[in-house]
Amino acid sequence: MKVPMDWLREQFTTLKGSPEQLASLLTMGGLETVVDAGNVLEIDIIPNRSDCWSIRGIAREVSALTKYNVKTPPISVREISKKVAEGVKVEVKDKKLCPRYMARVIENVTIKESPDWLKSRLEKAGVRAINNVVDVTNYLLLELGQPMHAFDAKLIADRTIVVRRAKAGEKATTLDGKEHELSTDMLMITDAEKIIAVGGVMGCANTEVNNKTKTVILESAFFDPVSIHKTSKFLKLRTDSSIRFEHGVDWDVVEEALDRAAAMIADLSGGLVLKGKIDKKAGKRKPKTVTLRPERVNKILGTDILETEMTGILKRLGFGASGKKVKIPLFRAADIYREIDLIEEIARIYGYGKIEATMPNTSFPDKELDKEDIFRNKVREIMVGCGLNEVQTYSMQGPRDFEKCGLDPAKAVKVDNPMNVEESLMRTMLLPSLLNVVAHNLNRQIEDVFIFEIGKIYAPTDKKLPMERWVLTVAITGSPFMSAIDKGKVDYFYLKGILENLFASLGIKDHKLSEIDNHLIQPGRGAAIEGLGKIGELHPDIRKNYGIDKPVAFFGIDLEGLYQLVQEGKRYKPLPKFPSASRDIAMYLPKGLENQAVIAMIRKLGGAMVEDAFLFDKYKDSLAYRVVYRNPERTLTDEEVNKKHAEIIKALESKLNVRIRR
Amino acid sequence: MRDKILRIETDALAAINSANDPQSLEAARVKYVGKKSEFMQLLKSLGTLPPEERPKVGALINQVKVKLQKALNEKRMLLLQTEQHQKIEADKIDITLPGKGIRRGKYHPISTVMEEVKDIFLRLGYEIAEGPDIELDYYNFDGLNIPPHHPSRDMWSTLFITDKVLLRTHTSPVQIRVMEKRKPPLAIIAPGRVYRRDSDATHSPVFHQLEGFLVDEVVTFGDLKGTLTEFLRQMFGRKRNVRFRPSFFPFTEPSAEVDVECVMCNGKGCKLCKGTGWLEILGSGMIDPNVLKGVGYNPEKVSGFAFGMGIERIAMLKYGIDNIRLFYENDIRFLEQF
Repeated sequence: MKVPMDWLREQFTTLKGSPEQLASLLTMGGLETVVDAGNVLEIDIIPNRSDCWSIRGIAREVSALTKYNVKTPPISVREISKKVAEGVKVEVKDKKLCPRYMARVIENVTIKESPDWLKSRLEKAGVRAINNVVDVTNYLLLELGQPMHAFDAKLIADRTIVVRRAKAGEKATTLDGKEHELSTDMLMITDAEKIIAVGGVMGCANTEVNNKTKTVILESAFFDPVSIHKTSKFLKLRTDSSIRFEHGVDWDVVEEALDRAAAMIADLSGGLVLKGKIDKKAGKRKPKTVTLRPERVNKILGTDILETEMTGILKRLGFGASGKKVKIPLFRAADIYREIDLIEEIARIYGYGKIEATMPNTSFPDKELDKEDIFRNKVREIMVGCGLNEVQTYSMQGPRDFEKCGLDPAKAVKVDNPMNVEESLMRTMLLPSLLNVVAHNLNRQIEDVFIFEIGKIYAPTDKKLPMERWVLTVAITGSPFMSAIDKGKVDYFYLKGILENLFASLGIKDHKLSEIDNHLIQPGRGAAIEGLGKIGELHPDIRKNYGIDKPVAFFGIDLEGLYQLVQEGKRYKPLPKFPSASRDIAMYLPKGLENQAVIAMIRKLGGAMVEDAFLFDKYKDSLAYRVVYRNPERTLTDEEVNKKHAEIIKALESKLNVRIRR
Repeated sequence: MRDKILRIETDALAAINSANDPQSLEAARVKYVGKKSEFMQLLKSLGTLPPEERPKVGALINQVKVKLQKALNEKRMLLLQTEQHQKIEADKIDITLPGKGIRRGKYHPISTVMEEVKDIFLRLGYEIAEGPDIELDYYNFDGLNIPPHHPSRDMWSTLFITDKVLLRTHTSPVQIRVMEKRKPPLAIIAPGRVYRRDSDATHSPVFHQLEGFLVDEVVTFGDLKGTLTEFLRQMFGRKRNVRFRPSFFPFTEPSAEVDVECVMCNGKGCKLCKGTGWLEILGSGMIDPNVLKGVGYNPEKVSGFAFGMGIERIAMLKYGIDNIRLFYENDIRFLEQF
C-alpha cells in the first residue's frame, strides 16, 4: 500500500522523523516498508493486518512505535430537510452475507473533475482520479479503509436497493466491461430489476456515476469476509474493495466513512445531503475482552517486561487496557481474539531486537535416527565416488516424457491444475527426466554425461494418499575414462562395474542378474537386477526419441528394497589358518552359456573344497577361470587338489559342453 | 719382469679409465686381471724367478693387483651412479601434463546445502523426520491453523491432485504428523521437496525446504532467537549480524522473519539485498496454541517454536546464482562448479 508522507503527517498533531526513519520503524514493527520517490511509503501489508489497509491504520501503527498521538477530524454533515427515505429504499435479504448496509442520498450534484490537491493525493497513492464523487469514495477508502460505492440514483429502478444472493444462471457485467456468470452463494446489490453491483467486489456499468448524474446514492456496508473472498477468487476479480472486505472492515467506520463522504461530496459538487441515513444491521458489534496474564507474556517471550509497559503498548495500539482485561477495538477484531495475539502485539512493539537470545534448556531423550536418510546419503556418496554427477529434476513430468519412454500416463498420479502440461504427471520413473538431462548436455557439445538422481517416484493407490518410493537411477554416455589416450566407451560392462561397486560398498555379495525383456533395453544387452530393478544399454528406438546418437547405459534401483538388503548386521569371519591352492582352467564356452552358469557349476562340483571360482582372464574367445581350493582344518595336498580339479574339468566338458583349451 | 708389471699397470689403468660403460669395464677386467690375463700368467711364472727376487716381485704384483682392483671397484661404482643418473634424467616428465583422469562426480548444490543445514541441526541435537510429498489438505492447511476459505490460504499457490489431496506447499505438515504420534520433548527437522504453482527467476514449481521445530515444557521466543542466530552464524559466519522482524504465519504466534546481513555487501546495501543490507532467510515463530491443541497438546503445559527455510534460496545466496532454473536444468558445466 502506498502512503504519501504528507497525508500520514496530517493524522497527527505532530509527527517527527524522516520518511526513512519511519520506514525502518515500521519494518522492524512488522510491516515491510520502503521509501519511494515523492516521499511515499510503500508498505507491504501482511494478511492478518487488514486494519493497516488505510492511512489511519498505518498512523495507529506509527503512533504505537513512536508514541506520537493520532488525532481524529470532526465530521459535520449539513443536511436538508428532505428525508433519505424519500430518496432510496433498501432491503437486505441476506443478513448473514451482509450484516450491515448503510446508505445516504445526495441531490443536486455537479459532476466534474476533483480539485488538484485531491487528484494529486490519489495519484501519489496509486489511484487514478475519475470525478469528484468517485474520487471521494476512493479517498476515504484509502484514508479509512472503508470501501464505498456511489450509484446514479436516476438509473436505479424504483429507487430501491435489494441486497440478495445471485440467482442460478444470472450474469453481471462489471465496470471493467467483463461479463461474469454468477453462482447462488455470491452476494449481489440489485435494484427492482437488475444487478447493479457484485457486492463488495465491483460495481456495474449500468448504474455508474457519470457526467449527467444529478443524484447520488452512497453505499457503505459490512460484507461477510469469507463470502467476499470466495466471490473475488471465483470471479478472478481482486479489487481495492475486495481485499479490504475479505479481511473484515471496521464495523464503526462503516458509518464514519459514509458521513465523511457525504460531507465531502456536498462540499466538492455543490450537492445537498438528504436528512438521515439508511442503516440496516443485524445486531450490534461490541468490543470483546481478552484476559492477559503478564507472567504468561514473559514466560512465552523469555523476558521480564513490566506490566505498565505492556499496558502502555496496548493503549497506543488502540486497545482498552485496564488490569488484566484488555478490550479489543473493532478494527482489530479480525486478528486479535486470544491472549497469544496480545502477546505478539506486545512483543513486536517492545521490539524483537530487545528480547535476549538464549539456548533452549531441553534434553533430547529417545532420539530416533533416520536410518534411511543416512542410507540414501551413503548411496549418494558411493555414486559420486564412481564419477557420477548428481542431478535434481522435477517430480513432475509431461505426457511427452511418458510417450518418449513408452510409459503409460494412466498409471501416473495427475496434477489437477498444473502450470503447464509438461508438469502434469507425477513421475513413475526417473529415467525420462534423466534422458532429458543427457540430451540437454549433448546438445551443448558436452560429450560425456555421467549422472544419477536419488528421488521419489509416485503411483496411485486405493488409499487416501498415493504411493511414494525412493529410487536411484543412473544414466551414462560418452567416454568412461578421461585419459588422453585410452578413453574407452560407455557400455553395459562399464555400468555394471558401477553397480558392482555400489553392491560391494554396501556389502552385498553375488546379487543375481537375470535375462530381461524390456522395451527400454536393447535386446541382449541388459539384465534384471533381481528384486530391485534393471540395468542395460538404452534401446536405440528410445534413444532416437531424444535425438541421442550414441550409446546410453542406465540402471534403476529401488532404494527401499536395497535398504532392506543391507539390514543384516556384519559378522566377523576368522581369517584362514591354512594356505589355499589355486588351479586354472582355460576353455571355450558354447554359445548361450553364461559366465554365471559356469561359476555356479564349478562351485557345485567342487563342494566344500572350493572356496572361490571366478573369471580372471580372457584371451580371444578363450576364457580363463581360477578355482581356489582350501580346507579350513589342514593344508590340502597336491594330489587331492589335482584329483578334484580333474573331476571338475571332466564334468564341465560333459555337462556344460565346454571345450577345454590345453 | 718388473717393467712388464709396470707396463701392464699403466695399460690396465688407462683401459679402466677409458671404460664408459659396465661392458667395457668388464672387458678391461678380464683382459688385465682375469684368470687368463697376462698379469695372472706373470703371477704363475713367479716360480721361475730366482728365489731372492721372488719376494720383491711378488710384493709388487700384489701391490699392483690391489691398486687395479681398487681402480676397478671405483670405476664400477662411478659407472653405476652414472647409469642411475642417466636413467633418472631420462625418466623426467612434464609435470604440467594432465593427470590420468580418474572420474569424480559432484554433489548437486541443493544436496550440498541441504546436508550442511541438516548437519548443523543434527549437531544441535535435532532428529530427522520425513513426510509425503503428496499430502492431505488437512496436514498442509487445517492442522496448521489455516481453515478452508481463509484468505491466508492464498499465501501459497497450491498444486492439487484432488479436492482433498495436494502437493505439499511447505514441509510444515511434518510438524503435525510427528506431534500427532509423539509427545514432547521433541526437536525435529524435516527436509524435503515442496511444490507451488509459481515459476520465475527466483520461484520454481519444485523446490526444497527444511522445517524445524522444538516443543518442551518451557520454550521461549528467546530460545527461538538463540537457536536461529546460532544456526545462521554457523551457516554464514560468526561475525554476521542477524535480525528478527515481526511477520505473519497462520501456524505461529508471535511470528518472525529472520534476516542475515547481506553476504554480498556485508550490510552496506547492494543490488542483491535491494539496498536494505539484509537478506531474508527464515520464517519462524512460536507454535500457535491452536496448532498445539489440534494435536492434543495442552498449550498451557508446553510451548515450542518452529522455523522453515528455502534451500534453493540459501544456495543462490551462498553461490551467487541468479536464476533458480539452473538447479533443475542440470547442465554439467553448472554442476561441476560445486
